Amino acid sequence: MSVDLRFHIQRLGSRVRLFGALSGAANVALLDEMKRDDANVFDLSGLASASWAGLQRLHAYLAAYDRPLELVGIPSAVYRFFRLLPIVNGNVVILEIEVETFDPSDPQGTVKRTMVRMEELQRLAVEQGPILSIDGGRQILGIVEHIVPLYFHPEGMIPPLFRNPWCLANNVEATFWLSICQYFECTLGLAVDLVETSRQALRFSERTLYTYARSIEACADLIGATPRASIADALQSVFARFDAELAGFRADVDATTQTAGTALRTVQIACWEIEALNPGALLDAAALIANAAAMIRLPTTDVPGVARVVEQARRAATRTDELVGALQAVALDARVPELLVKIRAAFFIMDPMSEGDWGRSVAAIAAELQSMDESASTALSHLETVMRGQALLAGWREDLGLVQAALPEIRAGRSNWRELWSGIIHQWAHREVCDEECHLRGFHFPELFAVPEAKQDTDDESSAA
Amino acid sequence: MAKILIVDDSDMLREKLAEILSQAGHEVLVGADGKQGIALAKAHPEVELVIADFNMPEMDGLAMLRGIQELPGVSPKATFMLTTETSPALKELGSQCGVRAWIVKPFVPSSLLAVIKKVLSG
Repeated sequence: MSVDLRFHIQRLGSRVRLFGALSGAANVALLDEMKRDDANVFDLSGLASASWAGLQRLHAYLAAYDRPLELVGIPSAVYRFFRLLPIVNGNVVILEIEVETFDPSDPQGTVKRTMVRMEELQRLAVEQGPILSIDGGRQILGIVEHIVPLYFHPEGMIPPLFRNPWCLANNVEATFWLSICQYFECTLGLAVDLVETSRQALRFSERTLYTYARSIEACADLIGATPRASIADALQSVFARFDAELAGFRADVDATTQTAGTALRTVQIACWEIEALNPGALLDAAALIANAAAMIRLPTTDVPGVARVVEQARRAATRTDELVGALQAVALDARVPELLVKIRAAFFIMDPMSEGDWGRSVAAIAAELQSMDESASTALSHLETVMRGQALLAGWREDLGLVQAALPEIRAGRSNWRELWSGIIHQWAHREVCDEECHLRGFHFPELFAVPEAKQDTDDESSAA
Repeated sequence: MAKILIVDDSDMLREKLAEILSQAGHEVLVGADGKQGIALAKAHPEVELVIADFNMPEMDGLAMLRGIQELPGVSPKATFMLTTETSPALKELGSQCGVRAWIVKPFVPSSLLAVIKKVLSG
């Protein structure tokens, strides 16, 4: 990671500015060091990126924040997923976010970003309805309920009305198509984030574990321990295949992500037009995402297989007694001084104070093995995140499969959006769900998930939209 | 007492380290990034010890050490990495660059001075 992307903070009066990449490894506790009695604004405009894991760390930090706090300058790339976490309560208030805008005459045109105060967005919502325009007619991407979620300001929002006559008359259906397209677009984005950030983290883990495993194997060679199958080679081989497959997926998914964005903008434009709306345009937009989902090759990495090799590495690290016992036996050997130098070199022990000292060197090696154990645990955690990302993608495609199958029926008048929605809810109720999926569903369909029992009531169409 | 080159992009750490080493009687040179470090080593070939951070703008600490090793007539007695990095893969690179001590921040001043004393007297 370049120096500029390291997560760091600066304090200016009552304002604390966050910079760099907010990853799962970011030291959010840095914020505590900068905290003073009068610090009441966190400015996130300097964040270059934020992974889902990083946002969860920030979320946990803010949830435990013990005084009023205002968040300003939240970049759109950060806010996109940050808003899925309903942590912002009376204590922490979002005042300013960056929104993405596009030219409604060109849904595939350039997306621009601009900072807007929440109160301005709320004012625009009252004037314009669910779809907002700023900067001389550029539309803000997403409907207002998703930009200024009700659970951020439950008492400050006036439910806006569509200005398009068809949408006004068919408010629930229009909201359904807007919400489901945004849900699919956001789900794809989050799944890709989970897979990609874990892939990057696992590259680091693999290098770390490989180096440790090689150290152990070099040490075993030096002391004449019984040879075992090389864990270092196994790690390198299994991770190379794993990374190549995820890299292939990453390359493929960009086009699908663009298509999902175009579909979202298309359905939004259709609902925004004052002139008569052709409801078929909404179906066309949904078909764009559904067809793209059917085409994409989802990753089928053998995560359990990779995890097994990582677990072997972890076991090698935790056999400290075995290795230390072997080292102590060698300590009686007359060649100890030369051997000790070589063993230290195998583990890259660069501590002049313990040079030539058998006991301190073994302690340093034991500390390295402890670090290897921790690295293996971290790698297993990243692998688990990849699995969640893959599960999210599989569910996403399954849901879009329903959409793809339903659209011809809806166009022919043999079915309708309510039957499709009912089918999706039924599918959700019968599928294992990860935390991320819960957040996505709760955010995009808050009425459906407001009451826990609602999840049981899978066929209640009145709960839709 | 020795001439020691400190290279770290953190103002606070440079100042703290310079103060500790100066008080211990060493002559201290300070640089804020790898390029400055190489320039200072070139201008002061008599430098006996280089203490460098790893993560720095423009050029990281290990690249800087390689650059210093290539300078004709410059041959410090030892090089230390003073860093938050603990990755064994980086340590391996450090070992290949001849790094004698890999010290993880935050450091204990008395321990650092003891290591310097041992290395310079050895």
